[in-house]
Amino acid sequence: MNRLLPAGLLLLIVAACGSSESPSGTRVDPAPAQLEVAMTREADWTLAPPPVAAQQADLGSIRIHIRLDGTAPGNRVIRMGMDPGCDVASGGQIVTEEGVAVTREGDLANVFVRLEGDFPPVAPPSWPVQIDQSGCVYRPHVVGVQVGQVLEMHNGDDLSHNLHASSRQGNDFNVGQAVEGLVYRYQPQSEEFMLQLGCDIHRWMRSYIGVVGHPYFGVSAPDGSATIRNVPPGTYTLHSWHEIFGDQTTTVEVRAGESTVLEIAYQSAGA
Amino acid sequence: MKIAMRGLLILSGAVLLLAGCAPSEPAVDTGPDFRPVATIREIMNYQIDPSADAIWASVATVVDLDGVHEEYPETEDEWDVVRAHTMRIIEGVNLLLMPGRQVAQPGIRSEFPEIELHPEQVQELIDGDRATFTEYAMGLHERASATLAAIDARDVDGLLASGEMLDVACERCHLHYWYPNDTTAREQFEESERLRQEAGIE
Repeated sequence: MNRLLPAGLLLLIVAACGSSESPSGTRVDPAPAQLEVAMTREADWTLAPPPVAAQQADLGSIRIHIRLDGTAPGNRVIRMGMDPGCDVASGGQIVTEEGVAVTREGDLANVFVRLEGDFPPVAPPSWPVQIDQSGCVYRPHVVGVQVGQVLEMHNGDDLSHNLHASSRQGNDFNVGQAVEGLVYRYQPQSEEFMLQLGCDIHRWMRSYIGVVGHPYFGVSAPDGSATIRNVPPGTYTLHSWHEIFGDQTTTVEVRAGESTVLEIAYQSAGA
Repeated sequence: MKIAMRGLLILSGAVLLLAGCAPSEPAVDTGPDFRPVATIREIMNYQIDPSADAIWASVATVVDLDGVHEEYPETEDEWDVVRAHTMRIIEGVNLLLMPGRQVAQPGIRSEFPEIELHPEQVQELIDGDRATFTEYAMGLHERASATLAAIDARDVDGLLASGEMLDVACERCHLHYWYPNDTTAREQFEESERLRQEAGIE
């Protein structure tokens, strides 16, 4: 069958961008200024990992490892040929969806984790959470952003995309990015789990954004790890979300000056 | 009194019967009394779009830890599922064209008027030129019919190709009615059309 792809051509594009860690901001009075919605063109835009805050002695941290048990389902190859421009933008490479980013050892990436609890107010970080549209896919595939923090979305392709956030919590936007280099900045104003971002022109493009009212969240890296730093001591519910394997909750206790280690296991239906 | 009353009733009945036999203008066949409830937007969201997604997803190349695999309908039940989705699109086109079908429920406004027309503007476009609307709708009908033919022939490659062309038919119509002022989307579509023609993809 001519649709069968030679394995030698296979290139798995893994979201290597973005940090698995959620840097916690300094505790100050939270008063996020409303960002004036802005579209700019920036030739020198780069996708950079966010800074990692130093661990504070009077606070704790949570080191999480997420794994998938059972047989991992595969990812579909994206039919870039639907837009010949995307074939060019992706360099003619074979690119798959990223729904199941898992290693042979079962390390599961792209799991969004967040704490639930009463926290002292923390102002949103001054740095943006970045998403790039490159080769007609979003990078990273899953991100977390604090309410009031700037979400910065860049068109790295020499073709048109649109950014369409379908929100149930008032975080909607739908803007076109007609040319390469355009950057759109948006400040989500309410919590949402999860805000889905898509491109109406390229239906396979999907990104998921966890919008949280505090800084205690993260996204698992390709090795399945995520760290939440500078958490006030206490007992919390930890929520984890995966786009295919769904939601889980667990209780976690955080002690000052200590790092709590947590293992989360998802079960594949193919187990 | 009863007799008189009965006589009056008989007379009235006779008059009515005579009136029924009187020559009159031939009745104009206005077709069935359709009672559309769903709007075009609802038919698109509830019926056509999900079925297009299902057709789109019915053929795929999948990569997992063991390598590369092809996925496509194999059993009769699997073919029947994708056939049913195709029928929903084909007959959904007829629903779109049904007289009296409104674009959207009253009061619905475009969420993004800088990009999209409001429903009443779309309605004006459709009502002002039904022939063009029919032409676009039939474009989708033709593409879906090609999909049906591929399914009935158990032609996986044909299903894959026709599924992609369904998307083209959708976009062509959306560019005319939904976001006609989106020049970028139009230019991109036209460029894709040009590349498809160069590649011999009809």
